[in-house]
Order: sequence, then structure tokens, then C-alpha cells
Amino acid sequence: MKNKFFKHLYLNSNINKKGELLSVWWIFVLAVIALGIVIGVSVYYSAEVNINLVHADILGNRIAKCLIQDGKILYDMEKYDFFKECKINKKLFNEGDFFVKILINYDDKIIYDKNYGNSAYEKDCQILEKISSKSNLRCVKKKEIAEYNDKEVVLEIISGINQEGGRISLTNE
Amino acid sequence: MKMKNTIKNKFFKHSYFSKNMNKKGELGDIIGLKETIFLILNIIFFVILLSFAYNAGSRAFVYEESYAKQIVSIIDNSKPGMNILLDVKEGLEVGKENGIKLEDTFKIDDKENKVMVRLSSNGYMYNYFSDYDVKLSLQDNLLLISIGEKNIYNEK
Repeated sequence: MKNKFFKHLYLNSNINKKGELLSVWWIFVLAVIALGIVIGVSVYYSAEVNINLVHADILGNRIAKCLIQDGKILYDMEKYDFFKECKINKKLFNEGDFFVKILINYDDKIIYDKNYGNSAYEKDCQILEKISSKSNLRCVKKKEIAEYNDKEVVLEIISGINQEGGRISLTNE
Repeated sequence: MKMKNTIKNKFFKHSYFSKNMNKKGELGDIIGLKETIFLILNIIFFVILLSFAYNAGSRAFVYEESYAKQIVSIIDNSKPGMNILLDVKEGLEVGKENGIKLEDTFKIDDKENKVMVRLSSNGYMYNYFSDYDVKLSLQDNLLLISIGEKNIYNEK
């Protein structure tokens, strides 16, 4: 039984005088190896590098820097135009891949709370804090202590980005 | 001498090539022609596979994505008035191999806030969030990213 099985295998073909080295079995083995490597390499390189965490961190830093100077919040937050003051593209935020939440806390009370961009990401960001997800969305939370209206407040900035790049063809231009 | 031959025979008795050895034990007959061709073909096969895996990392689409994301990170991390140089030598070589014109490789769409990198027939684009006036220009193998103030805000 065992001999009958090995009769068809490559190893046996070396021992067996009648056997061929480049047997169908050997070609099959090579094809399987080649297919495995090609699929593995293709999957590895086709996976997109997610820079949303870094990008969200840059966004959070930008907002913190444009809001606070010398430890003070420079603007009257009720009249504050986030897009204009921080030089951020409004249209892009309206398209839905970006989200920013600005919170100002004084004595554990929220005195200012405003969302920009896709507000649905607020909950998603809270979930992402607790569990890891395969989702493309990445969020960064920043806390800064600053002076606002002669009070020491805690400025909290939550920035989230769910951006995916895209391929362009010759016809896109 | 006899002892040595005994050891040699014992070794070859179990080896893969032993069946090809003739009685005289000439070197040319130890490895048969069939086995040599088989071995060479196998080596060629694995060299082709390894070179495929190695070259896959230097394909245009990998460079396109990485340059687009690098440029976007640079733009969003900078301030108006800054000029940044980025080495894009390897990417330009890939683009040249694919017949892409130099002026088509790195582009900015400031209406849509997009960076477009094309090193093959299919390029890659990525959005930057800053409302800056961005200009890209090639200086030999370096890409100059110039950041300027945009005059109109929130008009879009």
C-alpha cells in the first residue's frame, strides 16, 4: 500500500529507474509554491498604509497651536471661526472624512462644546478608545490647560480622520 | 586506503546521487545530466520567485502611495512661508521606466486639496486638510514643496 503510494511521488522517482525527475507532481509542487508567494507578496504590498493616526495627531496639534498662545485661549469661542483661524479646508470637513470636537471644561463643567465635520465619528472615537478595530478611522485626544476669560480651563480636542487615498487613472485629469 | 573507500561507499550508498555512480567512480558520472538539468531548473525557478518578491517592493504603486502620504504629512505639518525639499530620486527612476513625463509625476489640486503622484499609468491621490497655497516643483532629484498663505478662506 505504502509502496503504491510512493510510486507516484517525486522522491521515489529518483530511486526508481523508470521515474522522471520533472514529474507532474514536482511541477504541481512548484506551481503551488509560486502561487503562494505571488499571492502573499501581492496581498502584502496592496495593503494600504494607514497614516490616519499621524494625520489626526497633526490636526489636533494644529488646532491646539492656533487656539492657545502663551497659555491663553486667544479667541472668544462663541465667535470663533475654526476653519478661518486654523487655516483648515471647510469643504473637506463637509465631505465626511474628518472630525474635530473642541471642549472647554471649567471646574468639571463643560462651558464650550462644538463639533466640526462628521459628528458620527464622535461615538466611533469613543469606541476606538476601548477596543481595537479594523476600521480606517483613527482618533487622537489632546488635553491642554489654558487661561480663558481669566479662568483656568481644560481644553480638550478630539480629532478623527477616516481618509482613504484613491487610485487615479489617465481619464481622471 | 581500503578503509577510506569503505567509508566513502557507505556514504554514497545512502546519498541521492549514489545510483548514478559507476563502478569506476568517475566524477562526471557521480551527478548525471538529468539531475544537473533538474537542479539548474529548480535554481532558476527559485531565483525568478525571489526576484519577483524583491521587485514587488519597488513597484510604482508602492512609491506613489508612500510619496503622496509623505507630501500630505509635510504640508499639514508646516506653516506658510516654509520650503521643504524631499528626495524623490527612486520614484522618478520608476516613473521614467514607465514612460511618465517629469511634469506629470507630482501635482497639486488646490481646489480639491489633493496631492497626486503618478509614476505609472495609474497614480495615487491623497487629501491634505490645510488651506494653504501649495506649490510643487522638481529640482533635479528633489521635490520642492513651497507653502504659502491662501488669500481667500471659506469661500469654497
